[in-house]
Amino acid sequence: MIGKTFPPNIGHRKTQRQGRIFFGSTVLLFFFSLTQIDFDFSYAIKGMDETRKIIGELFQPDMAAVIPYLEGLWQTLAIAMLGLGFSVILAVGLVFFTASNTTPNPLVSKVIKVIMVFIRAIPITIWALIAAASVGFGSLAGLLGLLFPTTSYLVRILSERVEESGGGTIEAMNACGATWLEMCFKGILVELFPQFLATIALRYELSVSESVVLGMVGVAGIGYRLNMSIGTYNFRVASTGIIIVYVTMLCLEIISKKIVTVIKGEGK
Amino acid sequence: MSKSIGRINGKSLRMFAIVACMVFLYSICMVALEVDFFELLSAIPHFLNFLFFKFFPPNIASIPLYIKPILDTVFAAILATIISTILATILSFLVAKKTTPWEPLSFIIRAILSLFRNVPILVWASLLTIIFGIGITSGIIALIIFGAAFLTRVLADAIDDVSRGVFEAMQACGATRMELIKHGIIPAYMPSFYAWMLFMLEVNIKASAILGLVGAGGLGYELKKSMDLFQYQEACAIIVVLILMMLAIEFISNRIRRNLI
Repeated sequence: MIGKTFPPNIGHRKTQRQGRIFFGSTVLLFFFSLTQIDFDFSYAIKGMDETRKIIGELFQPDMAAVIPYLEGLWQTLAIAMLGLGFSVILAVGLVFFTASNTTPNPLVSKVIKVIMVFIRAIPITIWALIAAASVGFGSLAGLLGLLFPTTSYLVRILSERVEESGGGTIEAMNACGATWLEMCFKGILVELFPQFLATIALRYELSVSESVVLGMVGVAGIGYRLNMSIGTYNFRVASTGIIIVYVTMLCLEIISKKIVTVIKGEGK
Repeated sequence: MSKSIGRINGKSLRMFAIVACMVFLYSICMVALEVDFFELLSAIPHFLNFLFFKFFPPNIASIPLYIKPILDTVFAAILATIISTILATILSFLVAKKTTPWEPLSFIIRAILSLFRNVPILVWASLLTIIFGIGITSGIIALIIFGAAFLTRVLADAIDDVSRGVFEAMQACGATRMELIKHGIIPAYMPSFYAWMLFMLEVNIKASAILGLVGAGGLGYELKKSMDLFQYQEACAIIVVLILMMLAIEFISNRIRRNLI
């Protein structure tokens, strides 16, 4: 039944051809990649009994471990909040130089954007590792590691917002003879404040997720403790940690959605 | 709606309150982490100093050594994306409200997938290295698990977004369920499908690169080795390679996107 028109039943010939090329090359790529990777299932097969034991343990969370994990969670949430906070300060400072319609000098805007692209290309775990190599593992490394990528992300999103919606305000303020600073902080910032807040609030969820991951590479917080328990094969304890992380992230996801609806409702 | 106290109206009072809350939360965090504000300020120049003097320049001579890990990383991501897309497509039809054969099934699948989606992928990778050993195999499985969970949710949303009108019209003409899916939903959601699959590929490549940090193979593993040995210029070389690879993938992905969507 599916055979007659594959890919999906879109009549337009060019689209069909593109679709066929896409799926065809995907299939080729798939088999090619299979040959390139050396799969190694021997470890898993040898360890079948161990694996069964591990999975069994994972389903029996150890309640005694909840308190230390909650301490770790508190640290992680704090790192995420601080990291985000500092990034916001830096980002707000940079955004008016980056957005093409508010920048005093277009070259500055382009240079900043390019630097931001490079900062974003480095995954955040690597930033944290570099930070840890320079200031030692711990909350400080986590903060530094979060700082650069988060600032870069915020500058990008916020400057896009300014570029999209700032136009009218800029013209109006300039027409009234406002200085550049007044235009930025009393004009655009005030008008776009709900959108900025929404972006920041949404970003917190991601920051916490990143914080947990940073903990796993040694920074501090619940990720660190989780990594420790997995590393010491203490799976009952680890499963408690996983559950706590899951519940936290789930709550954050729900809160983020609510925040988006509330702020979007008020802003417009 | 807005009360006015002199020139301060309700709206700016609200904004002030929000800002005040943030400052308050902020100070709590400072206390919780016992990190002095000035410690942080002085750490930034120290960090930048480290970055520019101990890290640069990258050890370019050793770059050819990393070709195999890069290929491992990329192919692992490609494989994982394809397999998770196949899984996700099937699951998304079971999960989407419009096409699910049985409501509770949709709920159960969504709950399980939510677990895999919300817990950071590094956690799963770490567990999998214990079960499957160190190496790229654990990484691929971790990517598949996370990818399938994420894609299912997103594709299910895309299915639900397909216009109600199309759906009802087809049902009114007496279309069977399979016909509904094949002729009604799939053509409409293909653009989203392509977009999400490409997005997943980018995400997977980034994730694949760092999964190695917990032992799941690819570039991340090489990076961890050189960082652990304090060979910072090697690490820098790896990072340079990583950046080039990511930029290349973003470029290719944009081209494909422009042609397909």
